[in-house]
Amino acid sequence: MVTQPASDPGLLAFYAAKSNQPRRGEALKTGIKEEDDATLWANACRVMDRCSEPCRGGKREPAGLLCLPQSDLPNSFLFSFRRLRIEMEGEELTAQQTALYDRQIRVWGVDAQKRLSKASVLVSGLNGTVAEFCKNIVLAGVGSLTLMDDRLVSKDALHANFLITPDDANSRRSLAEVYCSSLREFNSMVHVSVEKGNLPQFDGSFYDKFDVVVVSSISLKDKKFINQKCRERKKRIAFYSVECRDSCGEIFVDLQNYTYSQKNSDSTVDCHLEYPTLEEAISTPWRDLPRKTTKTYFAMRVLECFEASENRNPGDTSGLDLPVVLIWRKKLCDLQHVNESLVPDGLLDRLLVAGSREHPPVCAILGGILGQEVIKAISGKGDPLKNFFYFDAADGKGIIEDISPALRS
Amino acid sequence: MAPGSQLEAVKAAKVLMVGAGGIGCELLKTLALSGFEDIHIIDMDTIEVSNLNRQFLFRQSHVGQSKAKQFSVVLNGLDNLDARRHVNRLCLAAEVPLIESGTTGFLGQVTVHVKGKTECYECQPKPTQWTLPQFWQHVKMDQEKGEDISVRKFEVANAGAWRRELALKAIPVLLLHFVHSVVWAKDLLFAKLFGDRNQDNDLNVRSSDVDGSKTTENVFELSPDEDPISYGQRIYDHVFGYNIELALANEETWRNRRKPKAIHIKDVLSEISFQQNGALENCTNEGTSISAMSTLDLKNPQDVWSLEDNSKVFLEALRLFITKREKEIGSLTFDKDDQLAVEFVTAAANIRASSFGIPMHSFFETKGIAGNIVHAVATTNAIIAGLIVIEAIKVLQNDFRSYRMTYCLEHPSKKLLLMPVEPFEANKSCYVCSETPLLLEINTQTSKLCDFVEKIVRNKLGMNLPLIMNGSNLIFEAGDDLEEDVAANYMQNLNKVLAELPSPVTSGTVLTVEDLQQELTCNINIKHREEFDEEKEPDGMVLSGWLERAKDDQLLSNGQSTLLGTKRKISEAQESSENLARPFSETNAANQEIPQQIDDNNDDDEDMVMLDGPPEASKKKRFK
Ligand SMILES: [Zn+2]
Repeated sequence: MVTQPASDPGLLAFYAAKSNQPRRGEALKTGIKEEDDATLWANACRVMDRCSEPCRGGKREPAGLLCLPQSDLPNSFLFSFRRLRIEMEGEELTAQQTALYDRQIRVWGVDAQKRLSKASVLVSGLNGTVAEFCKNIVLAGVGSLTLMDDRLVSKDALHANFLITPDDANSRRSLAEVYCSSLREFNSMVHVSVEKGNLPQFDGSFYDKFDVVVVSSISLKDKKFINQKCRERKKRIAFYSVECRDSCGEIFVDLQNYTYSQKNSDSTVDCHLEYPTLEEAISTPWRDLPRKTTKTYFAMRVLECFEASENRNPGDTSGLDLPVVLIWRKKLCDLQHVNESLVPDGLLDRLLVAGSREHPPVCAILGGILGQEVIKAISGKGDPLKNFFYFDAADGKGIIEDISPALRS
Repeated sequence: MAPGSQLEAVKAAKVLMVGAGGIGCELLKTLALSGFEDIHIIDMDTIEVSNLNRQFLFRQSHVGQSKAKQFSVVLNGLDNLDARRHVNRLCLAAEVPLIESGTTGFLGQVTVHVKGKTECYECQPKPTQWTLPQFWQHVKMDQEKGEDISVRKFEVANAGAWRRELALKAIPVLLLHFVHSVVWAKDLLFAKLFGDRNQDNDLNVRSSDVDGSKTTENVFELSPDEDPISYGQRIYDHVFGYNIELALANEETWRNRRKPKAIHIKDVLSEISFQQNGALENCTNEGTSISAMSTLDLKNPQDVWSLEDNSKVFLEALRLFITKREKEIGSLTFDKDDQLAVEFVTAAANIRASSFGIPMHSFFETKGIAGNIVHAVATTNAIIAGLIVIEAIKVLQNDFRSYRMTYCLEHPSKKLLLMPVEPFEANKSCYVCSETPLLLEINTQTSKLCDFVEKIVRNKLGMNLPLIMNGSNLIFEAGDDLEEDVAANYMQNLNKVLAELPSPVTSGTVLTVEDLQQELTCNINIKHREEFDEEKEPDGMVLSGWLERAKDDQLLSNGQSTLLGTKRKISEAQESSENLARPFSETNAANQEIPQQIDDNNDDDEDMVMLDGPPEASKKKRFK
């Protein structure tokens, strides 16, 4: 029987192997599930340097405890994913695909799964949140995933990231290459590849290969530019951007003119949504927005202006920048005819101090929401998010904001 | 990695994860990335609830002496009610904070339970746990009423209860009747043919009522000289033909509803196809790969077979069981991973569905229903794991003012996709975390001790190893290590009517029920009552006390969030958080449409736990 990727003990092992936190004592224990898994665990133990407890020969133990290593594991640990290596056959879902995706097909249906397995996703700008997103759509069985980020792996990138091991940090490989080799292990039915270069410099025709483009860790200017490129193509290319600053996160969605079906018990209703581009959305006068619009939206716009003016990379900030950022806040608020209290000092300070640091639980949440949205957009099933999503661990709210200029005639 | 202030608390923490399923995988990853260094995992799939004793949660040199806490926080990623209740009680006893979670499809929920600060997991009454006969009785009642019923939650008091609840949760109305067919095929027909034949079974009752000369036992018996195909045809005609004709004979039943039609094998399959069917002896099926689908060349599990194909699968699967798996017959229980069993159940459920005019379903869909396969999406698990870690960090910092329970919704409510709600206070009459006595109305002249143990102590109170005292007299104790004579004495007691026990239980008696393993003690005031409403009080006894508040409390009176089995409506919980409890720092625009996440399925039958409408139903509301 094919094991569910999401509940695969191998996945547990994978995470254990990939997590770069040093552990002390007999840190990580887990139960054995079935004979098969037990053997797997036992093998896993054998390849480890410092297994503090002898393996139990794959037998079911009532106490069910095995020890995992305290140090980082060699990549050979990933053998557990071999079980997922199944070849694709034709257009229909294979029996193996059906078995592998059994649970999720029960949620979104066979048609959605088929569309998913034909879709191509491009991701530019890799970080912990994007790693979560990639894992989610790879596990869900997207057709192909193309990764772009030529930055070399650094120690900094280890934070909040389960796709990189400390070994990778010294490997002089690019982030995209390291992500690629890790993600392939999650689901061999998904074609994961690397594209070198800088997305804004690619021709428009390059975009035609994709159904979905996700960007992160790039400047506002580049985001707008890429969003526009997606718009200019004949086929509809969904555009998403995601940023995480410690406990705060933002997702932007542009599905252009999006029609999707709502299935009722006896009929199907077509729903239509018209999305603005990022440029159009953020040009909406602040005064026109509902008073209760999340303050994070405004804070992020202030930070964007600040970063653009100083030519900084997104998240390249510290608490020291606050005085200058407050000047930018005043400028923007004056321009928009709103009171500066709309963008609280505390929030700006929190975002500046966070810089590009990501809080792993927030990465998981943003990557989960983004994964869900991309799956919805590809499958045409379910109400898609329009058009901003915010999460802040400080209040625990996951808020959808519809920020669109007055409808174009 | 958690920022500086949190890091110390996180590093020092010793965390226990219970459950290593979908949420567990994600949780382990997020914990490790967040800087947790000491993580212990226990998988309830391997470890029986009864093995997870309190030693696991805290070390204790002598019972009654102070315990050294072992874990800083317990994180649950479990999928069944029994295990959840057990862990809740262990955490209360050890005073270890508990973070509960659950997901189904795109829905999820995270709650925080800290003794003295918030409600415990069991402060809200959980949905009724039904035994299989009760479940079947309700199904029959529905059928007899001829109702076009909306989706209901049928919970069966076994380990897979929660799965069943969830599997049925998302099933649209049309499917519900098919669910009946699957339950019939799996729990009655399959069990009758391949399981323990001595078990009471509706199939006997139905035909022996009229057919006095030929007992049903004979019908299901394979005669020594009978070939498997003839046997299969005989069974086919009996259950889909004869039994339906019998049912049709009762005109009253069918007055307001569509009559089923009897189906006989000769009407469906021609002589020739029988022979083809039977001629497949040279198939290479071995062991677990034995499959009627492969001998009949039915490849795609997503296809809905014709009545003819279903009939062929029925006969072929039955034949394969008899010829290839003879030894197992008599002791088989349905297993969703048993290919041939699922094939048989699919075919039987479809033929029955066809007889009742219900749409037929594919092997794949039937497997989901029969196996109670939980709908799961990796993204929801990832989100819930993130929320768990956020709450865990607050708990470790003892930042109880910011504890939240969070709902992960499929459709936003007031712009919120992730909706935090302030935790509720402990229910002062919760039988688990308070010491309020319970009240049991029961007919002490007719109810036996065993009824009390089964229906109240095990099903309602969720105890595994109970000990029952009447004053200072021990009247029952569960356990393997009892002296023989003591055990025999308890057996005698179990079969006695309450009023006739050596220390009689009558109106006014106070029973003490304890589970030492769970460190839970309950006092139950007994009140004698003569009559019970068969339909509304099928147990023949009514436990109250912990339920009373729930009934008075508007918040809990209708609708519910089923994920953790709490009787609470999401939108109401949210309102309560905004109106009753401390408001959030900012409230959201109220001009947004509030989609109805949970339907109000009011029903006159109070014992029937109503379910959220299927996703389609809630969408319908939205677009009205
Ligand atoms: Zn309680």
